[in-house]
Amino acid sequence: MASTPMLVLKNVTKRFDEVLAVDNVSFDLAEGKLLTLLGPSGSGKTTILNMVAGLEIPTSGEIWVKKRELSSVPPHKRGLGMVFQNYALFPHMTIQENIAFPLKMSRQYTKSEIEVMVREILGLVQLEGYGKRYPSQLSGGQRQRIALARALVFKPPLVLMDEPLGALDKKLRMAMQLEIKNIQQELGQTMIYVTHDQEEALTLADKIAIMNKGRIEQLDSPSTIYEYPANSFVADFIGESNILPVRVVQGSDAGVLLHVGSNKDLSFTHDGREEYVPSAGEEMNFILRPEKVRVGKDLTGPVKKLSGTVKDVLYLGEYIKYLIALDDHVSLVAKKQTTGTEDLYDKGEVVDLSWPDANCRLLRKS
Amino acid sequence: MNMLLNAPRPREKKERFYFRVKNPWVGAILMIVPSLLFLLVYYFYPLTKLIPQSFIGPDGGGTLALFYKFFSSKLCLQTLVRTIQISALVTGITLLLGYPYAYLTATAKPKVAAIFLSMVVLSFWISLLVRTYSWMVLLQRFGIINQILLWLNITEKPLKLMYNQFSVAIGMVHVLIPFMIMPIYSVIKGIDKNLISAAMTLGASPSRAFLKVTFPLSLNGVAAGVLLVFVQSLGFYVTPMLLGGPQTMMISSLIDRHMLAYLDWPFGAAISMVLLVFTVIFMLGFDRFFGLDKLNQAQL
Amino acid sequence: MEKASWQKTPIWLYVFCCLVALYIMLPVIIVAVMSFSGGDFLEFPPSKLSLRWYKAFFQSSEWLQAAWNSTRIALGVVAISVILGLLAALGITNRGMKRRKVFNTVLMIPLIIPPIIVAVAMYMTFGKWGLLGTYPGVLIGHACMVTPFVLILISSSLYGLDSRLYDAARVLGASHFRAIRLVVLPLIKPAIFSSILFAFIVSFDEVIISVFLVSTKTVTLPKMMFDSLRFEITPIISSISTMLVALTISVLAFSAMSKSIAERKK
Repeated sequence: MASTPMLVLKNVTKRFDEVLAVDNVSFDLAEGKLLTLLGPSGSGKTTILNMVAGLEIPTSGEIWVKKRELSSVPPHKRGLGMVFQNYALFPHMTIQENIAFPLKMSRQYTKSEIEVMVREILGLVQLEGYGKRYPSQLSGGQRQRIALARALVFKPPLVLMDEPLGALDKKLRMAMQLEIKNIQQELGQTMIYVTHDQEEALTLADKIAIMNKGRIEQLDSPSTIYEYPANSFVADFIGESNILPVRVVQGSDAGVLLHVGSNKDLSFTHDGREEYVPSAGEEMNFILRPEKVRVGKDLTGPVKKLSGTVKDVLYLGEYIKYLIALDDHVSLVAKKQTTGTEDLYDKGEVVDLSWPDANCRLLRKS
Repeated sequence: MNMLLNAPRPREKKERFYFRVKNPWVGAILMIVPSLLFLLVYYFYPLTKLIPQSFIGPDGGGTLALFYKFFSSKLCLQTLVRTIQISALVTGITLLLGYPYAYLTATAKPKVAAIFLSMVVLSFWISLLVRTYSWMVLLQRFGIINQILLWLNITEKPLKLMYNQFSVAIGMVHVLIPFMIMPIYSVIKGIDKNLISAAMTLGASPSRAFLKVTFPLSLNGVAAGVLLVFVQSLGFYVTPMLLGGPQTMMISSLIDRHMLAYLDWPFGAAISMVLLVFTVIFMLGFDRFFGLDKLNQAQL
Repeated sequence: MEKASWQKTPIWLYVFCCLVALYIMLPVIIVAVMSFSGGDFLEFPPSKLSLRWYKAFFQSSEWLQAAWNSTRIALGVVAISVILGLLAALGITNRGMKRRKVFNTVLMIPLIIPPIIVAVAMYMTFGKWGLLGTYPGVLIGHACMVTPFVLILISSSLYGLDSRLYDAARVLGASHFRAIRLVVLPLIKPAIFSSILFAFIVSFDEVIISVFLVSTKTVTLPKMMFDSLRFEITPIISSISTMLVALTISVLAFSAMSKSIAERKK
C-alpha cells in the first residue's frame, strides 16, 4: 500500500508579468526522500522552492504538504524548514538565538526544552559549544551547518534547500555534501534540494528533477537519468555526451540503420527500448557517452562501429580525452581512464571506434 | 543520537485567530498607507486646490483672466525672465566650480577626499538662512570684503556689493553648490577605474583619457546636478529676498508680495501655477532627454 | 604608495578646489568668529572678545520663545515623520510589493516641487481649515517636507540588507510584523537614529513653509531671524547662527559616530 507522499505539486504555474517562470509543474515527493531540482539559472527551480515556502504565490495550481493544501496558508504557518545560499543567519543574534528562533516563534516549547533541543542539534552538526558566538565569528562552512541546524531543530516535515553550498569552495562543498546526505538519512528528513551543480545532484539525490525554462524535463533516479536521458537537453546537461546528428536510412522494431555525417553508415540495435519507431529520412540525435567509446586499431568484425581520425589528444590526469573526427563536420569525444602505461594515439592517426548499443540513445531533435 | 528521536514532538495547536493575509503584498501596502494618506490630505490636496484658485475671475467664475494679467504685466514678465536668467547663471557657475571639485573629491586619496567631501556635506546641512546671512555680513557696505578692498587700496569708496544680482548670485551659488557637487561626485566615484587604465594602455594620455572616458560617463551626474540646481533656483525664496533688491526680484518674491502683502490670493495662486508649470516643463524636458531615473542613480 | 606622474592629480586642480572650499567654508567661519565681537557692530577680527551677543539672545524672551517653539515643533515633526517614513520604507522595500516605483515616486514628490508653491498652497488650504498660525499646522507642514527624506534614508539602508533574512524569519515561523520587529528593525537601527537626527535639524532650520504658516504666537526661530534680517542686519543674528551651526555639527557628528559603532559591531 502506497503511503501519502509528503509533498505534492499539482499543475503549478507561476507567471511574473510577461515571463512564465514555472510552467505547469507536477510531482510527488515521498517521505524521507531527497529530491534535487537541477537545472541552469532561470529554469524556475528557486521559484518552485519559494512557492512551497510561501514566499511566492502560484499563479495557478496546488501545493500539498502532508494532505494539507497550502495556498491559503502564509509562510509562517507552514512549519517548513529552509536553508538559503547565503545562510541568512541573523547577524544580530547569537548562534543559540538563531537556532532557537523557530522554536520561539512556534510558542510551543518552554525555555528549558528549547535549550535542550538547541544543544542536541549543535551536537548533530558537530558545533557544540558555539552557542554564544555570533555568525560573523564563524567560517563559511560553520555558518552553513548552523543554517542547517536552524532548519532542522523543530523537526519540520519538509526542509527546503536553496543552493546552500553555493558560496563554499570545492573541497568544502564535497565534504558538506556527504554530511548533509548522512544527516538526511539518519533523521529520515524529507528534503528538496535546489542546485545547478550536477555532481552535487548526483551525490545527494534519491530522485533528480531536471528543469529547463520552467518545465521538468525528466524526473528519475540518478542512474536512470544518466543512462537513459529522456531528451537531448537532459543528455547534454548531465555528464558529458556526444550528440551526433544522424539521418535514419531505414528502421524496424529491433534496430535502425543510420547515416552519420556525409558518408558513414551506422547500425544501432535498440531492442524496442526506444519509445517509438523512427521513420526513414527522419533527422535525429544519437546520444553516446564519451567514456563508453572504445578507441582501438584494426578492430574487425561486428564489434567495430566507425572509424575516424584523431584531431586532438588531451591528457587530463584521471583520463585521456580524444577528439576524433568522423569527417569534416562531425566529431566525437572519447574518454579513457589512464592506467599509467598506455601509448597515446597521435594526432592524425586513423583509429577504430566501438561501443555497446545498450548504452546509446536515439532521440528526437528537441 | 537516539535522544533526538525522543525529543518533545510539537504539541497539537489550538487554532488561534490570526489575520489571514493571503497575498504577501497586502501587508506591504498597509504600511505605506499612513504616509500616503498624510501626504494626500495635507500636501497634494492643497496643491490641487491651487489650480481652481488661479482661475478665479472677478465674478468668481472660471477664467484665464489672471494668467492674461500675468503675461501682460511688464513687471511680471520681467520678473519671470530675470528668474530664468539668474537660475541659468547660477546653474552655470555651480557647474563650473562644482565639476572640478567633484572630480577631485572622487579621485583623490581617501584622506584628502574625505576632507573635501566633508566640507561640502557640512555646508549642505548648515541652515540656508545661516549661510545667506553670512554673505549679508560679508558683502555689506562696511563688511569684510569692502574693508579688505579699501585696505588694499583697490577701491576708494566702499562698493555696493549687496542687494543686487551679484550678491544674489553669490549667495545662491553658495547654497546650491552641494546639489551640483554630490551627484557628479557619486557618478564619477562609480566609474570603473579599469576603464581609465584600459584607455591609457591603449595609448591615451591622462587628459585624453579624461575627455574620452571619464567625462562622457560623468554626464549623468552633471544632468542630475543641473536639474537639481536649476529647478531649485527657479523657486528660490530666502536668498533672493535677503540678498537682493527691488531690481533683482524673482518669482518667489512676487508670489510672497501678492499673497502676504496685497492679500491677493487668486493672483498669487496664478503666479505659483506659472512657476509650477515652468518647473514641470523643465523636468519633463529633462526626462525626455535624460530620464528621471538618472536622478535616483546619481543621488546615493 | 608612490604614484606615477601620470596618476597624480594636477596641482592647479588642487589649488582650484581649495579656493572653492574656502568659498564654501569661510563665510560661516568668519561670521562665527565675529559673533564674539564686543563692540556694537560686528567686526572681523573682533577688537574686543565678549559673549554679549550670546547673552542678548538668552536674555530675550522673544528669541527664547521662538527657539522653544522651533524645538517643540521639531520634536513633533520627528515623531510623525520618522514613524510615517519608517513604515513607508518597510512597505516599499517588502518583497511582495508591486508597483514599487510608482509609490516611491509619489512619496518623493515633495522633494522636487519648489517649496514656495507648497507654502502658498498650504497657506490657502490650511487657512480654510483653521490650521494657520497653530502648532499642528506648522507641524504638519514641516512633516510633509521631512517624511520623504526619512523615507530615502531608511530605504537605502533597507536595500543594503540581505532580503533573505526577512524571508528566513517568515519561513521559520515569524508573522510579517514579528519578522520586521525581530529581524529587520534591529539591523537598521543606525539609519533610524540618523533619520531622527536629520528630521530634527531639517524641521528646526525650515524657513519657507514657516514664513507662511506661523503666527506671532507660534513663530519659529528661523522665521524670526528672517523677519529681522529683512529690515536690518543685527549682530544678535550672528550668535544665533553660530549656535545653529554648532547644533548642525553635533547632529552630523552623532550620526557619524552611530554609523561607525554599528560598523564595528559587524
